[in-house]
Amino acid sequence: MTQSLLERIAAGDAAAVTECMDVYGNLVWALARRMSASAADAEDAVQEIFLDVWKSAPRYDASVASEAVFITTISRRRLIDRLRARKRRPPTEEFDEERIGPRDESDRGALAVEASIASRALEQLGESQREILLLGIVDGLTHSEIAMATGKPLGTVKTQMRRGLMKIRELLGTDSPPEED
Amino acid sequence: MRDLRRRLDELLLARATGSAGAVELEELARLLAEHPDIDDDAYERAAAAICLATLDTAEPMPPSLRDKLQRKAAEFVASAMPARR
Repeated sequence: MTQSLLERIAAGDAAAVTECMDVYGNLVWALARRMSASAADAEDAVQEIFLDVWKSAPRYDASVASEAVFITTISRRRLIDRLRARKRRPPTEEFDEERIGPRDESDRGALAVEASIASRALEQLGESQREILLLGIVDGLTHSEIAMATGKPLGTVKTQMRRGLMKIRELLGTDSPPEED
Repeated sequence: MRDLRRRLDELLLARATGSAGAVELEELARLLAEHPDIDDDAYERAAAAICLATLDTAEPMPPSLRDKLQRKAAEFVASAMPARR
């Protein structure tokens, strides 16, 4: 069976380090642009993220997630840390139905299986729940900020966010969360 | 035990959505150290999948950033895998 790029990096294959950058560079750049206050911040973040990805390659388990999801998870964690450290948020855009699914159809071939599942799951959610989920996950708003933006009680925001992520997590085949009240 | 799992779930959700503060993250780290059996990345993977589903990756990295990354990659290879080059 062919080794993934991350498995090759973990095995010490130097060529895989730059191949990883070539394959996932646009993805990490897009995430950084979305979750950074400026292009300069995004450039710094991308460099931190790739170093983290290369170092984390031995932890990658292909049976748990695709490489794209693994790299996106690391990227988000790093970008959220940077936002927290700077105590500021990236500019946000109005909620829009078109945000579901990539804007460029040519991107579809590059989407991970998990992304397709998440896209279908998002379409199954109610409009209000989907809006809350996207404001939190995509726009990076805190629960309190979402409550203010939508006029919904904080408790409702948390519940809707949890249920939405649970649904996607279940569809992705991960473990069961604790029972709800 | 059930209350503990619920609290862990709440903290993991907060981390995945970027809503966890320093105090919550410290509490999460302590609870996860006590319960290494928990799949602590599950919510974050779900959030990552949502990002992938909504992301436009058509814009390439700036060439100057690509050059910097190439240098970082060379440094990483030299320091982390010198025997395999």
